[in-house]
Amino acid sequence: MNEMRLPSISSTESLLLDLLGHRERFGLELVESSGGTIKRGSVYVTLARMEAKGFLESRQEERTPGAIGLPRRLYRATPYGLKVRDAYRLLRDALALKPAEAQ
Amino acid sequence: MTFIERIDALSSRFLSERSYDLIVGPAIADLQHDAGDGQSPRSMRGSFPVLVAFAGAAYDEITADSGLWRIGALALIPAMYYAFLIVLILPEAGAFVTARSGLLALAIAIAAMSFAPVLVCCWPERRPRRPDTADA
Repeated sequence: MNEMRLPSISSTESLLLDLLGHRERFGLELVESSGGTIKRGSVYVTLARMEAKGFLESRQEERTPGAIGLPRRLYRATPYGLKVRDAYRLLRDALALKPAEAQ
Repeated sequence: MTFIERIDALSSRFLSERSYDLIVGPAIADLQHDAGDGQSPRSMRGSFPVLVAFAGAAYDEITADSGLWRIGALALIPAMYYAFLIVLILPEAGAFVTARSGLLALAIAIAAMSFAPVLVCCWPERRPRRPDTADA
């Protein structure tokens, strides 16, 4: 029998999806708005893993004439990613209830 | 050779195009944007996030590609060889080897001597990246 594999989401991934919301943002913006929770070195690894899971999508910024350096990458949460985050949040809330409250 | 050129060269050898595009490239781009002039960082602190991103990308490559686990198996051969030598000289080495810090130093040296040649020789070949991402 085939078992359905449920997607997993960490607290950092959940926070990144919160910070992204429905906007498109750069990695550095996410680090700055996290207030030190997300580190600058590890954010790109986390974002790449989230993209592989389908939680977000990314594209390179459009280059303006005279721009120097590598083009930066913009990230946007997918509807699937937001749905997984919301589902896990509901699950966490439900599991946090005491037996008496759950009835 | 600047810091970014070094990271670029290392990425070409050890990382896939996907890892560079999604992990190391954005880290470099944000660093250059932060510096404001598109150049290499002038301090170790500035380059640290790129080093962490490179290490994370390399770790992802190892864990994603099961074939890379053979690197660990291959590194065991020289590690056993060096460990055996240490066991042989243990009575002669005296206080250095029996001290905890001495043992740790030896373990790190054995790991470095075992993994370094295997990593350089046996890491899978990577295709050169597209010019538009490598030279931008």
